[in-house]
Amino acid sequence: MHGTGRLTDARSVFEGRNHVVAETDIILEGRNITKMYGGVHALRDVTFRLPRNEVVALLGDNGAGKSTLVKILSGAISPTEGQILVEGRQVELASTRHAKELGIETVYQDLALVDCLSIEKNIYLGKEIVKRYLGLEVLQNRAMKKGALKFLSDVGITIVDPDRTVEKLSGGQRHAVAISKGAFWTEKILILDEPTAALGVKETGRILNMILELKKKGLSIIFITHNMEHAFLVADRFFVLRVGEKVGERRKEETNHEEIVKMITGAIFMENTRA
Amino acid sequence: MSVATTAKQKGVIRRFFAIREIGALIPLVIIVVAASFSNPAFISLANVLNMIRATSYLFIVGVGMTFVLCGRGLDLSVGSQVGLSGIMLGILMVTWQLPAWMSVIIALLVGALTGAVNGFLITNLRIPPFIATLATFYSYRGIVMGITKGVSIGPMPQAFKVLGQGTFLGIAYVIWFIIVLLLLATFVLRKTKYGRYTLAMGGNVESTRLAGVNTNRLTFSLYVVSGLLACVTSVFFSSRFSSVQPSTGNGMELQAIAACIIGGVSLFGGSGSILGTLIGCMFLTVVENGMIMAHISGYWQQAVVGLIIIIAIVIDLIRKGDLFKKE
Repeated sequence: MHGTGRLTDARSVFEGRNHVVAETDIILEGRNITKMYGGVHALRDVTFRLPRNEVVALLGDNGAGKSTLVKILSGAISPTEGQILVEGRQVELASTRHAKELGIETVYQDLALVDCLSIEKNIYLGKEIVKRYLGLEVLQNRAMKKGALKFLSDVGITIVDPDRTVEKLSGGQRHAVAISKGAFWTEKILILDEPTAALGVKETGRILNMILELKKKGLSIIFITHNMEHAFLVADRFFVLRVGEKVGERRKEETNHEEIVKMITGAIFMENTRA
Repeated sequence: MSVATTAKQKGVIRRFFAIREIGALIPLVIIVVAASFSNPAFISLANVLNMIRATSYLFIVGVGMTFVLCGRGLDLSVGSQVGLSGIMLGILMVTWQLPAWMSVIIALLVGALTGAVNGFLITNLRIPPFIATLATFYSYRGIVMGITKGVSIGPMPQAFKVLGQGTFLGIAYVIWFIIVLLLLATFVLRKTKYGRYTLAMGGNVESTRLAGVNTNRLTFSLYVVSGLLACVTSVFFSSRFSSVQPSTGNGMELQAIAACIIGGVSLFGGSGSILGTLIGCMFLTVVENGMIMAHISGYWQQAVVGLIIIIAIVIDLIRKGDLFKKE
């Protein structure tokens, strides 16, 4: 079978019919995810796939279940039913720490920054670079500052005064630091919850650019957004939820604004997509 | 004057004030200069050593208070803990006739325990620090009064007094101790995970917890450290005199807090420096000593301290750029 997203591996055609080249390599999958709170379905039989090195926009109106899905994929809560697969292997995400160990980093809307600390102290919080002298761990502040600023400049964010505490940064820079707190520590999966919320036009542009740079670095990214424009600017795929169910999934080339809006609002009804 | 030059001047002013401990240093220098003018004996070597020694006791408590404040806590009970430790030392050495070294170790353990009680109230019972340490402030002093009935305990054994009255190279042991403490505490605050996480927790508990830090255990430990240092102060202080007083440490908690504020420690947690606290402590000592030397009535002393706290905070606001900022 020829994959639509990738050239067929010529070798596989030769080596035999059992070697099926996946259309794309799925790095994170939530299969048949159902989450119930009491008798209420927050999510009902949702299958979500994040292909490797792609940006997927998770869309849906309020109450669609986006946050719940993200919390399940990031290990914060467990699904009532369903499996989670990381790089094809089924895993049981016991906690967010476990998820991080598997390479899933999540950045929430409240940013989880410590305002009175500087940038590198925030990025390295909990994972500081230390040198051991006779059993005593000494923080390597200079190395951390260098590492943090290099990362930020690699993804297109310039910081004029690196000694400033995070509270003194602009909204866009704060978001950039918060995203870095996650992106710095994984080479695999990054989940962003409304990364451009409450940002002005110029700053939004910088964050979207940062997301593209992170994709260039090899990360696979899920991001929740309400904003269609932003989604179309960076996403490769759109995944739409509505009242806890999957409405549908589209690749950017095969769709447009109007169709996605209709999927979100329910003008296009649930499609019978196979899990 | 053109706009460009005034802007540049403001920039220079801002950079000068950017040195972290400036808010405390300026008033200190002013007072020292003023006091020296009104009485040259102020800066005699003997008087300077005397002042440094007086500062030492408050500084040891101040270091504990600095860590607690940086972690967004508050310990109002340190003065009472100093008093309680002193009475404990008296009972151990005088009433029970235990050797000095053993008494000191037991007293230190008790100091850690009284601090741990605070830690327990605050982290396990979730009582706000102000209320918890206010309760222990009264309780510990009450225990002291109850045991001693207001009467001092003495005479303290000579073996113990060596610590308080002895010198090394002409300088009292306690002064050597605070030099080491200054270096050690600064190192811990700036260069270890313990200090880093304390500051982070003071800035935002939830973010720090999400980063994987056990904030409950950290908070608990801050109060144990505070209690321990209060006890250390008591060991040095009590060893200077022949008897221990039930009133020792009265008011020390407020002085320590004032010293920290003057030194630039934020009451809301997340920022502070040990050197700043030292300057704050020196400041309080200098005011007291300087006013005596200048023959100014001691009754005005508290008013002066209050005024200085305001000046220190104003300087701190200038430093952060908040004072001249238009809303």
